[in-house]
Amino acid sequence: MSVKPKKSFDINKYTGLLASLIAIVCGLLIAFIILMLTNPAKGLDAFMTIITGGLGMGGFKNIGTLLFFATPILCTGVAMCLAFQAGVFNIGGPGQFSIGAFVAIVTSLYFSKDLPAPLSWMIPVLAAMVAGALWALIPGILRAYFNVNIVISTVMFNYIEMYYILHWISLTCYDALKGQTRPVPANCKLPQLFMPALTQNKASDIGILIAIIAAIIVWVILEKTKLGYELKACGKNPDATRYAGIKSKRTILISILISGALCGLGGALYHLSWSGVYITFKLGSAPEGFTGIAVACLANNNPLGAIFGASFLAYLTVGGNYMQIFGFQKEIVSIITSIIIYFSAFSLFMRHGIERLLLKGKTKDANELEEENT
Amino acid sequence: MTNSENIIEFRHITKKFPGIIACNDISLGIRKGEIHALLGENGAGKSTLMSVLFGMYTPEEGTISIRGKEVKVTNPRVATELGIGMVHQHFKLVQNYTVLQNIILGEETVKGPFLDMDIARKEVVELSQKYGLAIEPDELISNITVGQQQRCEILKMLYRKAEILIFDEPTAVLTPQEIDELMGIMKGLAKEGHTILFISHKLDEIKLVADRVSILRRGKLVATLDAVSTTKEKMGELMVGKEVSFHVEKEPAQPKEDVLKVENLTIINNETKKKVVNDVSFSVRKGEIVVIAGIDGNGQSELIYGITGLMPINEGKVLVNGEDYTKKSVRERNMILSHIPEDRHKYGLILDYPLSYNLALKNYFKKGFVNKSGFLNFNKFNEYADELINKFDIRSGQGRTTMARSMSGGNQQKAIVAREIDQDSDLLIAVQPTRGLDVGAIEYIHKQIVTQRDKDKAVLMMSFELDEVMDVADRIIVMFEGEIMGTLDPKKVTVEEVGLYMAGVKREEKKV
Ligand SMILES: Nc1ncnc2c1ncn2[C@@H]1O[C@H](COP(=O)(O)OP(=O)(O)OP(=O)(O)O)[C@@H](O)[C@H]1O
Ligand SMILES: [Mg+2]
Repeated sequence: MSVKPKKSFDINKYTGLLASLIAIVCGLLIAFIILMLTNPAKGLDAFMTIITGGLGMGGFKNIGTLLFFATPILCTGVAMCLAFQAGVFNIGGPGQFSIGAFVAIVTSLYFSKDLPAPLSWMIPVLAAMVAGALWALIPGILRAYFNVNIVISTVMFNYIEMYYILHWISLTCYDALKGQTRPVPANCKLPQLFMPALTQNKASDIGILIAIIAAIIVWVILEKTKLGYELKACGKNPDATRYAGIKSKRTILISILISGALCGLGGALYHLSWSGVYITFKLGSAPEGFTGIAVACLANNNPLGAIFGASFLAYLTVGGNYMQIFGFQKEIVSIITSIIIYFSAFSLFMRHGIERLLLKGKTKDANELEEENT
Repeated sequence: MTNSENIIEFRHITKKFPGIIACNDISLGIRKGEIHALLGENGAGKSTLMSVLFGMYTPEEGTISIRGKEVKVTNPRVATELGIGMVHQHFKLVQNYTVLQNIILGEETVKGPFLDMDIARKEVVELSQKYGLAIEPDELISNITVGQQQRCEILKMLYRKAEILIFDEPTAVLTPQEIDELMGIMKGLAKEGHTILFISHKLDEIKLVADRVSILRRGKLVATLDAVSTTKEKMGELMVGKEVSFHVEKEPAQPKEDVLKVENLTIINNETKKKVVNDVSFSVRKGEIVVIAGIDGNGQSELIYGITGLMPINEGKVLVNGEDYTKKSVRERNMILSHIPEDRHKYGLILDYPLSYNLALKNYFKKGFVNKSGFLNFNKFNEYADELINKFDIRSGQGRTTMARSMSGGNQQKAIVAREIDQDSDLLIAVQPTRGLDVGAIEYIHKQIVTQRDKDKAVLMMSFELDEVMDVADRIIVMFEGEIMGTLDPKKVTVEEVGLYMAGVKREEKKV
């Protein structure tokens, strides 16, 4: 009757994937409707561009652009995967990302530009990670020691960052002529190695490789180590974690530190790239921080899944940019991509729906129902 | 089998879960107005069968007829419309709502656009008087006892006009007094024409209230018997497949030096500012089992949490093996004590971790389970889990990879007990260790606890069940309103006497 324990068939994994797909399809559908409403004649063409443009229009060279867009959101996505698995709802991605970017720029301008090769870019990257971690640490401490809601405090810290960063830029690296940060010295940019040859794109660098390595490391931490066992336990049942003698304060702090460092890493990799991006002198949050949440949702909080989640969203971004060919304004383009991205974030939501509808009774039990009721 | 007076007719019900057939071709008729008990080992499929009736699971095969008509109970809402109500083992009440609000939740009476609580209140009060379900309608759920919460759940069903009432292990969480009350209530409900389905592991109760009893074993229905004329022994044998003993065999204790010493322990409740544990001192020695008895809510739980470090203490000391543990961390305490917690879902398990992870909860950081660089050794996890699963007969669909959440209540409990007893700690603290276990498992766990004692470990146990207290204890400590009323020798006192201490009527003179 009962079979020997074999490798478990986890139905949850499949509902997760299915949910992500359904979320994506819904997002695409709504985007399509909006496109048709804005410009019925060109709507279909534009829509096809989003779907196929990522690789289609510009040829293979778009792979480089795609990887460039995927790099920062992979970092922030992995950061969110880890934080969410530990039950720490770090919504401070944008702040931690921008702080990381800023520190990377300043460190390269003032400190590492005269240093020899690997140090010249590694030091800004590490500095950015430390800065992102420290920026996240404050809400972490507020949560661990004063029980302040982490969602609220991390969001507040996004606002604080939004204002302060302009002040700090004006003090350190402001290019008044262009209204943005000064360019990063060439020897501080990320090594390109074989990447331009591989992607047929002159601006490609190893940023994406670093981000993928980060994703793998985080996956290993979560799945294979004692620390991961503790972090996930804390996210699933804080009381039982305390009962087991795990120090929950320490766990919260560690997870938000790693999460902040990864966001900082994202900021550094983005701004030390060869594609020439700058922090513009405008009030606003870095969208890469929020997109990280969508990536984590698409990936069902699995850091390896985040690699695909980030690539997919980057693919849409690249395709979206081509829509301008059909006379769609830039703003429409970003609305459309945002709709798809934020719909992806609904995949968690969808998952519950699917479980209810299709797999009723298989994954739900009394306890789960009870939790929902209360 | 088909019988027109049957209000419920299960026909060939089969419900499968990954790796296990929880209900295997079950056909069973329930007569209108009877109290029908379901009995079976942990994991036999009792809860699953009831959940199928209540619409929480859809069976792969089979049909259900209610009042002679075939129905498809696709979700609990349909069940409610069919007049079926269920009191789950873990209640589903909104903590910061009042009793009345909880009862009418979702079925509010209105006058125009406004809530009209008065109609509802009248109806609820009438119901509560009719069936002897004493409640305080305006008290918050968080302030009332488990027994009162259960009455609230029963009223919730009655308010929704339920005729078929399902009770999943309703007595597992109650004190003996509350159990007596509940038995009376159930009989009254049956007399008024309600049909009651009742899951229990306690054979005495079944004999007391049930008309018939159905026994399940590994998903199959083995027998449906007349509850009054069948003996406890017969029921036990049918469900386990072999004879079970209802008494604990043990030699007299040979206590040695103190392991746990509690001195003047006081715990003050943060909200009420009352001393829930008031100046309590006692000790537990090597080679003895000390059982704390008392009615629920007299400070026993807090005392245990104070000792295990899960709740801060206000005054006093906790010494283990002569060392002061008052200020030590939970992890440090865990190194010398094991703790089977009262609330298995809150503290005992991480429900969304597989069984193997849960079994390693107190060991995962120890040598063998983790290497020097922090990587977990999953071979060790698996080996250890399989060992405990075999030793303690923990049953589930997919062995060690089963998520704790999908295990049956009794098997979840067995997993915790296995983990804690296997720690082999100097001090074993067992709070209601056999809650929700079948008679066979209870026998086994009691044996294990006695074995620990005989290995010169100190055992501190807490139980609401007087039979268990009298059976297992070498010494009984009775608590009432946060204080120790007396230390009794189970061989020298009667159950009635212990009851008097528990009610606070009798008190031992303070020794100087
Ligand atoms: N949601 C679920 N997913 C997977 N397996 C389940 C689920 N619910 C129950 N099972 C399995 O079905 C079997 C029967 O479980 P059930 O809860 O009905 O047992 P039970 O007779 O109520 O036992 P207990 O006395 O321990 O409460 C168990 O082996 C359990 O592991
Ligand atoms: Mg059950």
